[in-house]
Amino acid sequence: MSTAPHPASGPDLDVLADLSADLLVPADERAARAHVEACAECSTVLQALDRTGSQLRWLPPIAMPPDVVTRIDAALASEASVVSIDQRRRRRVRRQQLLGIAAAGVIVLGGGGVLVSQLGHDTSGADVSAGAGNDGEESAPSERPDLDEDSLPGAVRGLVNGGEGDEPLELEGTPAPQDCVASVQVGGVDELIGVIEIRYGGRDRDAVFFTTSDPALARVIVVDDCSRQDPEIEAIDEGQI
Amino acid sequence: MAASRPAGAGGTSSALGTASDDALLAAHVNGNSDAFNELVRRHRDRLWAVALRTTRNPEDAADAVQEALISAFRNAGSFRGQSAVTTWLHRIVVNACLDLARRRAARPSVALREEESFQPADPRDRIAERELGIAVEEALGRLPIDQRAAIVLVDVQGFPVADAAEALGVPIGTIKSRCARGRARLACSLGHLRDR
Ligand SMILES: [Zn+2]
Repeated sequence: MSTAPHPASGPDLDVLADLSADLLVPADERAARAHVEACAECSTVLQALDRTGSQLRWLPPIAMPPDVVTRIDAALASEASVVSIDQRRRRRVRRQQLLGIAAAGVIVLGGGGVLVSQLGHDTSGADVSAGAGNDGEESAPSERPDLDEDSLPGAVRGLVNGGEGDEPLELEGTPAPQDCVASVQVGGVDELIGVIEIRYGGRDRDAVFFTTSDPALARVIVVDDCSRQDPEIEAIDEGQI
Repeated sequence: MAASRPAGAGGTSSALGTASDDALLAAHVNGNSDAFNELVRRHRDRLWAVALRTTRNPEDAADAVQEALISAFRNAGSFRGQSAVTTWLHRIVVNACLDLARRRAARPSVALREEESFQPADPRDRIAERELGIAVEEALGRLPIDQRAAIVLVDVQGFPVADAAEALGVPIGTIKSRCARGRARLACSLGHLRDR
């Protein structure tokens, strides 16, 4: 190997880096290799680049710290419970429809057969809170947003304002009592945006809005009456904000 | 009959433990409540390493990994198997890191306590190796984030260039070039080269 000094016209560091990463077009690669063979300085550079590559490959693995493991497990458990509450709710709705629990009465026959009573005879049955306004029959339709299972997710954007920069998220409408919030909040991750009164499926209901880990999504939980600490959850959904 | 069943709950978890990543993701989509946890358990250290080395900040890394895993949890049904599950997970994590870095760009960066943050998984690593590792980690931290993310995936985590390209959403040539230029800078800041 020659000890001739590296000429100013020789390949620079970027070219040598590209050479070591097989990024040069064939003509440039041939020229660079021919130079490197005759230039001790450039051979040293290539060796240094190789050495750097192997030092990177041999960096020790890093383990996720226990506190981060715990935090992420909790966040995923919270996410999973949203899904399972939603599934439970759907199962319960189906069961209620099947058994007619939401209606005035139900007769379960001894043989396991079920007499489905007619929905719509909506009196204050045992399972339904007798609190005023809950079933909406007596309260006049107001300026409450009128929503149902299909329109709920799409309505979120229109109801929740803010969120640009540091601007907090907030809700249009009249704040309702918030006794129920703790019981419908899932995990400790999501923050309450607010509670508003809506019509849902033709009845007066309260909609509780939370942030989610996705800044573009809000979670909405429809309950029968948010002035109760343990309300019935009617629906859980998410919508773009 | 009964004897042919796996014994107790242990049967389930060991079945998950040997399932492929694809099978776990499919099981999660089909409602198995343990499958996603197993997937996370399997990959969390590597995802953490990528996030910490890319963001250079343990809090940002934790935010990015959490955000990414929740997104993966929710959107698992949209995974179509064009890439390996692990590539898909890394892509979501790296993108969460890059998003965070962009949002944090205006904020002065928090100096990393290298000794605390980059605790090797194996405490038996020798001191000299640790010191060299810390020097490399520090040098890595001074790279521009695009070069750093490419080097972390390809050189540190050993991803094939094509997978890293997919994870970062750029052409293969771009990844190769980011790695090459990044190595050159690292070689300089590690003192392997006289200034050129
Ligand atoms: Zn030379």
